[in-house]
Amino acid sequence: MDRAAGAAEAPPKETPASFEDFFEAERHRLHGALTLMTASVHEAEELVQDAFLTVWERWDRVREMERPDGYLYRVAMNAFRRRRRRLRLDLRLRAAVEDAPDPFARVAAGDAAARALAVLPRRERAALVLTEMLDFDSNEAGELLRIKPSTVRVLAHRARERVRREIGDDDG
Amino acid sequence: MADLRERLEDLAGRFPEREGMDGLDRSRRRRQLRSRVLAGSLALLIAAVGTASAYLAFRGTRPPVADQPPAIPDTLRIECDGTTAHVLTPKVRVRPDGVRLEVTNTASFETWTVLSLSSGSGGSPIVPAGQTKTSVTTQLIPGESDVWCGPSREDVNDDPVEDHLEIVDPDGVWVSDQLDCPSGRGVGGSWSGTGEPGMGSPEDQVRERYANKIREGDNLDRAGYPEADDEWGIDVRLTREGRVTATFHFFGNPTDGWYHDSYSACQEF
Repeated sequence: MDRAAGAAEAPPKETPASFEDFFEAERHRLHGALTLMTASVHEAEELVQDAFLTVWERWDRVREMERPDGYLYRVAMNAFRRRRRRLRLDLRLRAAVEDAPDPFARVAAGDAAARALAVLPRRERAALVLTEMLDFDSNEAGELLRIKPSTVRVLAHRARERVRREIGDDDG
Repeated sequence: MADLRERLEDLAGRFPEREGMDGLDRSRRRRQLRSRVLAGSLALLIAAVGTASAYLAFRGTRPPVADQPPAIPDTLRIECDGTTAHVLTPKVRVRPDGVRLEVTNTASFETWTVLSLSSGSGGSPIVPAGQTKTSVTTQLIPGESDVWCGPSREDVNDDPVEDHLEIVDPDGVWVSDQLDCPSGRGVGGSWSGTGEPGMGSPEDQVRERYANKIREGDNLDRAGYPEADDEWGIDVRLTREGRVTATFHFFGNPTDGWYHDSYSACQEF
């Protein structure tokens, strides 16, 4: 898999021709990152959809931004953080979804890294994915998570060590 | 040991998305519908409280009040200074097409405003910087709500400063779509859209599609705000023996046709 640069550090991208192009270009990476952050495919799908819907609603202005993908990640991370306090809007639908096993759990059963991620605190997971996989620095990740950069470093460090330990045990 | 980044990226790539652009488009429509359907859960409570309040009011010794309190505004006006939402109209009445919301941003940066009903959030227009005003008509339902505003580029912190407001419906404009199930349990929620518009009005489609479930005496009518924009979709509710027993959700418009998107129903239905 390509080692893509983080949205905040990379040079400006070409303005996407359409929202559809932007959606196709960004959705896989965002979905993957949010799946790891939430340890839930179902939750990630909701967050991805909410983020893209928000961007879509404001596309006329977002497309003119220097980094539309940066805005997308900001919206997604806002939703990720806000989710803790947001009330469930549709309990019936959610119940139906949650009755089905989350694909993340199935993968975690056979993958040490996924298992390790699954038991990490939510903020540690987010800090790890933002800094390790998406290449945000601690200042940028801190801004997204609304915590101090030093806290990001601590969270990411702890998460990294725990995952590495788990992977090492698995590999070894 | 494998490189951690590669391990994470490999892991992230093992969860393919279910749907592409078509799914996102459907979600956009569903989100609008869902917010209304589920907001209805608050409506039942409001209806119950309203009924109880009315009963208590009229049971007492005070003579009934014939006139409404004077001039409840029909536009919810909020001023956002960048950190705090100041509600200028703490009580506002609904309009036939929903709740009119007007936000003035006095901050030097872009802000957004979020109204938070106990059943969920709604109405979050982004307002450009500096003494600018944005107006939208939302599908917020009657009831009490907290309101927060802040920079559009940041999120609510853990201790947001919130103001309070109340949306009232003195004329009974809003029609509840909240299920009232004898068993206390609702079923459904599964999306049954076919991707093609159905024939006829939403009510006609319900009669045809659910002919084997509809009984003599059941009544079909529209729920929600009667003059809501088509973009919010349409809810048709089925009332049986005075109870809302099922609701059917559609999106589309009279010209292109109506798509049956989902339904919710009591177990008895």
